[in-house]
Amino acid sequence: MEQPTDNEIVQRVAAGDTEAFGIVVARYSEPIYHLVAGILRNEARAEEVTQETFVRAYEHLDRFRGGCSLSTWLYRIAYNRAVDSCRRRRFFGLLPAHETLPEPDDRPRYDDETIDRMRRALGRLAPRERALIALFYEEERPIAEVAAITGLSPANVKVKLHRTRQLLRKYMETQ
Amino acid sequence: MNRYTDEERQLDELLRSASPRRTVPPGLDTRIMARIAAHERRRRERRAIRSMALTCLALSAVLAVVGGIAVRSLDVVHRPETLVLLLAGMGCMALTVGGDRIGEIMRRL
Repeated sequence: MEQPTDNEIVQRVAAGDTEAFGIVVARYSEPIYHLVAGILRNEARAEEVTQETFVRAYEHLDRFRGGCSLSTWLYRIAYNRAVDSCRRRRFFGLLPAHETLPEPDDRPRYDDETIDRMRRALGRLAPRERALIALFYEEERPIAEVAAITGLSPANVKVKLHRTRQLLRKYMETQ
Repeated sequence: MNRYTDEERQLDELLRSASPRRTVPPGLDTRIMARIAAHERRRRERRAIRSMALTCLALSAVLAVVGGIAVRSLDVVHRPETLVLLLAGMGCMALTVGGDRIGEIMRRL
């Protein structure tokens, strides 16, 4: 059976079919969770923020005008909530120096120590910088979409990515 | 022109290697939908309370108007006892028509 498009689902939900939102959740919960976990680097908080993202999206679905794709709109909500969550925790002094890191993966090209150094360097980045890295490298979103999600211009995204890479290189050298 | 240096390309590869392959917690979709269902339920309750409160308000306005007209039309000699009867009747009517709604609002608040 043909899957409904995002716009069809939005129309169905607007007409009162709450269950239709389940298709959106099934379609996007995984990438949204990956993005949020990439920014927060904490699995439990990532789940909480992912849930909040979808509840907020459902609440404000009438504000989705279709100017961008539904996925970009969801990513933008997730990005804002994750960055806010980091900021709040930093403000209240709840952010530990080294948060829970996920299990090491099985990509063999670099040795464990180098990858661990890179992860520690990633952990030192500001939330917005980490979000850029998560969107571009982990989620492999094109520059234009990263720009739409973060509210920056594509040129600015490129500059910030370049600076973040320099920062990462510096952090790795100073460990 | 490609201005990417080998060093930058290497850093990109390292970044991709360091990006973990996270597994989504099992049951995440169900938990999200449960929260949305709870949110929807609360929204519907709030809407129901609002509508019941509006009905009660309209009923009070109607009773006030009818009561006002009735009081003005009473003859002066029998006014006190008729007024008491009239108020009691209006109270009974209000409780019959809107009592369950008022009770429901109080219960939900």
